[in-house]
Amino acid sequence: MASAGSGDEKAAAAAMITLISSDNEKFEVTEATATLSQTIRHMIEDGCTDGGVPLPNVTSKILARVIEYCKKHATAAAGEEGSSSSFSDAAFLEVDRAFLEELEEFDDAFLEVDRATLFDLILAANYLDIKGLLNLTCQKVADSVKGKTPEQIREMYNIVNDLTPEEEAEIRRETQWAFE
Amino acid sequence: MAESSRPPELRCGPHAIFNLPEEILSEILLLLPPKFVLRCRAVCKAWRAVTSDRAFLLAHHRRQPPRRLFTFVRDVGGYQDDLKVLDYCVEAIDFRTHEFLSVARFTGEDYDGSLEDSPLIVHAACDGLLLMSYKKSLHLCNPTTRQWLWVFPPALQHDKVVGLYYAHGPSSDSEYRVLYYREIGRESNFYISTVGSGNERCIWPHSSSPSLRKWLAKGSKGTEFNEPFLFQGNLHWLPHLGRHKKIVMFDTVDEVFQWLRLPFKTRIVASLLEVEGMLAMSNSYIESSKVDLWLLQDYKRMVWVHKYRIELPVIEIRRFEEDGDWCSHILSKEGDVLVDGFDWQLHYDMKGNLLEKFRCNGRMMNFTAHFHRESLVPNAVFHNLDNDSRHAPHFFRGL
Repeated sequence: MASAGSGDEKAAAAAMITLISSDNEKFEVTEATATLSQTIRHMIEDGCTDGGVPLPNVTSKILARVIEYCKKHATAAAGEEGSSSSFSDAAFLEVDRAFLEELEEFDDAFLEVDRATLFDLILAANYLDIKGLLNLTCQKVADSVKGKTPEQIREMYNIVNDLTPEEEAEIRRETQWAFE
Repeated sequence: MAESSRPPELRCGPHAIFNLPEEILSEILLLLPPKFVLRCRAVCKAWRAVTSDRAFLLAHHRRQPPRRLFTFVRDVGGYQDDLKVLDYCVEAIDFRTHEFLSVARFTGEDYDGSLEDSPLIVHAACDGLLLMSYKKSLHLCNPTTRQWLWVFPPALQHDKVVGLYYAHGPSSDSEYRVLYYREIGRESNFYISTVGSGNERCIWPHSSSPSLRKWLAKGSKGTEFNEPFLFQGNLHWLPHLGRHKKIVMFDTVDEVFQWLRLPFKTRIVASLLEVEGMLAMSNSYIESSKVDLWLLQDYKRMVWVHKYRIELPVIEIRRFEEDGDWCSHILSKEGDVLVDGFDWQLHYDMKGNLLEKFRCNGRMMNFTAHFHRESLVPNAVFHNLDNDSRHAPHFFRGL
């Protein structure tokens, strides 16, 4: 299910990379998909991907999701390279809007996960150094914090308040309007 | 959510937010608007530490969108005896999202002056700080932290502020300086005052160019400084009324004015901006369908290049602005254009598609040339203030 992508043939047709999850499951992906991860890109550049890339920090469940993300976005990156990205060229506005919308829909659907999975995705994106995925997942958490009171944030994320009542009162007094 | 149904001991497992490495927590909190960053300080010690760290706050400042500042007047209501109460408002708009931000608001009584006599002026914006005056008293404030102080000198009864900049002081501390001129008789002299010092000093000679000295000596009638544009630490002004082949620059290190020569004439509707780290100029006429973007590709050799020309749908704009008198400015490298009209403000893209239109729910709307980027970075200029002025002044009330 999580093996080679179908839409990636155009980019780096032959080169395939095997990724090995912490629970020893193997995933075969194209180089274009794998190199969305800066960590893997560096490994490829150093020529140490023969026999597969072990990813001891990522479970097969999370790796499958990460690969799903990378496949979709690798296709997008390939599409963008085709057109000019120079701002002096008005053509960049013509970058297929429909495709960008589709990508946004994909991202929204991709984020429909429980909080534990979301945190695992963040950790995997950080470890694999996939900037887009890290931004996307961090934004999701940030959006959940936005507009909440400190009490609601603690409640939502099971955070113990270790500030003394005096410290907390001082913080609130300093920028009282931010708590209104 | 799935977690809430689990027993508490499991909820505090490896998936809790406090088990994320600090750099990821920091990455998440960087995405919050300033107000919610401040709220996060009251969550717990770890969050307070992350959101109070100077490097975090600098990174947060850099991520804030540049917002264009504008002012307008709103009628609040009337007393009897025909005395009307007005709000003089400063707001800022992010043209990428069309979100408005209330920045400051002064409440006063009605007056019947013209636009030039508005009691509220935004003189300059720099590092998230605004230099603004209301009824001749000058304030430096950070609307994001709501810190502020009075600035004197200059005395606005006879001094005219032309710019604000950040400079390294004699000690390692950095400081903000205000540049202004004072007209005595037929002469005008330029002064610099460090904000908070209470002192001023005259700069003379202020230029090595005789023609520029002559221009600067004309005083307010001839000089008419436009709003300053701070680029790479130096102040830049477009000459009034267009048709010049040069702009004025103040070198804040050597404290001298210089001409910057242009290979083209400035037109009556021109503005400065920064594009890809270069000084840029949007150049157009009143009610013109065309706006040009010029880039100063090589600052030292003064190499300007014409980057692009945007054509606007004049017939469509005239439907909104029947009385004419609209001005178009390029706002970004992507070719966002603001059509600043009497009734409407229109946002076009590079291809002349209308992206958004809005009108302010007040009057005398005035788009400034200033960009405001919110900042929570603690600023030495606000230290050592007494308690009264550390608290939010009336012009942030109710925002």
